[in-house]
Amino acid sequence: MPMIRHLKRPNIASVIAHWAAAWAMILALYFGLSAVYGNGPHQEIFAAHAYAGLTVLGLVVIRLFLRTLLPWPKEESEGSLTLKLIAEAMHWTLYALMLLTPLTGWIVASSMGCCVTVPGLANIDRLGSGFPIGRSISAMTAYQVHVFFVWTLLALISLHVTAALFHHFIFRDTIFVRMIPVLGRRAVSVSASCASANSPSDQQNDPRADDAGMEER
Amino acid sequence: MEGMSENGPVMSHMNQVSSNGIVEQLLGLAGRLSARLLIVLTSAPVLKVLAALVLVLAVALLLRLLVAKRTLQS
Repeated sequence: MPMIRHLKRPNIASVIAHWAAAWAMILALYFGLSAVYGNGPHQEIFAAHAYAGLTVLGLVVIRLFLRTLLPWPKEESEGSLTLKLIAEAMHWTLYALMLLTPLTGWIVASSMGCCVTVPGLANIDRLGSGFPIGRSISAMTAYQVHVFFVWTLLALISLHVTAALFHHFIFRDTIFVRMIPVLGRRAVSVSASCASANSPSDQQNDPRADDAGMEER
Repeated sequence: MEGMSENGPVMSHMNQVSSNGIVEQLLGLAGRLSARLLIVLTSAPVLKVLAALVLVLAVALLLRLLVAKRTLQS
């Protein structure tokens, strides 16, 4: 069985944001389905759905900020170039959907003041009101696109999880392990190893590059 | 058997019509969906939030370049 030789993991803040976003999405989906199909108090469930969705929005902004600010480990997968391109496209589509799905939901929530209100949620139409770009949008259109985004997001998350398990059990690379801090610590402790996996420019930029590339204990 | 052979062209025509219907329905659905996506992506709230996100990412990139420059200098 091939063993994991080098573990090049992303920064811990990105890993935490990844799992927090995953849990927030599960909660948002649960509360969203309960609000539409459930028999409970719709007002509270809808508010919980909105807060979970806003958490996803905040976390994806944090993840994109960290991904731009800090170096990101290079992919070590043994898959073909086509698979790598598909994986890259899927990751960026996931980021886009994690951004646009809560945003369309926020548009819907902002126009439902008559029926359902979310305490503390600002009206999105008033944000940046002195900045006249774009057109107004109907709540129904935003809702239909929101629902489409949700199901597309679910399909992509299923593919994402399947691909992660495939990497772990079939390719036996570090793609899955590096996103799970507990497994990563058990395999090898390489807190500063991400620099070795980066491009030469990133290696020049990162002063910790010399500590990189520790082998498994 | 005779009746079935007479109905053959009719059945074939019906199949053709129904398959055209499905294709048309799918194309219509894709067209409507694309139009709605375009409306949402060009709407004021989405454009404003995306503009804010681009600014935030530009700040992150600037910080990264500044840190890299400082590291190279020291």
